[in-house]
Amino acid sequence: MLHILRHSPHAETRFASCLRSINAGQALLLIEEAVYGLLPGTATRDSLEYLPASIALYALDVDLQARGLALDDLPGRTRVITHAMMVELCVERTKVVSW
Amino acid sequence: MKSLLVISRHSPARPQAREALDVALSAAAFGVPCGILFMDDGVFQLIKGQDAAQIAQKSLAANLQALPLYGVEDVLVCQHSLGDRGIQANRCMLDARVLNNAEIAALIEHYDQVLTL
Amino acid sequence: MDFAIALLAGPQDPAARSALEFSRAVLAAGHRISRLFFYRDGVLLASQLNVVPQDEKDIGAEWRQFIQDNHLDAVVCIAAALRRGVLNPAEAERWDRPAANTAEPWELSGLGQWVDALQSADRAVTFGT
Repeated sequence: MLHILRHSPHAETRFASCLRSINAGQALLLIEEAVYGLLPGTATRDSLEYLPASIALYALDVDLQARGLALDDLPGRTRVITHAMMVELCVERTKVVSW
Repeated sequence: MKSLLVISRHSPARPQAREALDVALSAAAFGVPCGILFMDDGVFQLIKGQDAAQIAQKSLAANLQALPLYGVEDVLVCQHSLGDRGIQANRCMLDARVLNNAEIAALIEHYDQVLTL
Repeated sequence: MDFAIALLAGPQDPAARSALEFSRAVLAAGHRISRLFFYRDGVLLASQLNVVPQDEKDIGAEWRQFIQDNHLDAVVCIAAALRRGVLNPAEAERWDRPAANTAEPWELSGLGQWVDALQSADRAVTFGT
């Protein structure tokens, strides 16, 4: 299963709700404002780093770049993907839940 | 048929609350096995004694109470969201099953499709 | 693989761009889009009355072009559209409104079209939640 988050963790409770509802082995993709959750030194960044290792973390390249997030300062587990790779991810995972 | 879980997460005065309900009810009308989970501000929909007419709105209560009649089998509420907002489960107008985080994760896994609305 | 793609946010929301780029990538990868469904403020994409400053991208026009070029089924939730003043000529006449602002390739129809698309598609992806 793939969870897609699009809202900033600071504006919305669903970022936290999604993290509470995610299971081991699932994937999490951050798009749009949700990429702000990757900024260093924040509680959200910590909670993303501490997700179980079996949860794959992705972020959309254009959304990171558009918002000035340095690609070399992301958590080591983050895989930066394009829209084409996002499509592949949706095919690989049988179910997509957008938050 | 693929089962569908609607996660309703907006407060009752917002149009999104009714729209989430409309999706659940129309899926159920087409015979789709359907559940609804009240989460985040969505749990405010369940507070008893609401009088939406005071702000010139239609009440959601009748539609909510009709959920089981229309075939929405599973009516669920997030324990964490209730606790965060100071709402006791026994103050809810529906006989919703209260789920903890692990149960919600399992629920989302169980349904074929999940829409957060 | 068949994708059902829904957009719930309007032209001003970054989600309108995300959904369009994702939809383009779906087709580029050789998959099909069985239906696009526009709900909530997403119905505003179907209005032909939006005017965008010349130095900005016209996302509504891009969607319309994309739908036409690929002969896609683009359904706009009729209840959401009426509430937001998005009417085709038939609805403008039915409700006695002075003008219509949407037409082909957009089709106004009910939520049942989304329910149906969710049932038949291999993957359902929602944007603008």
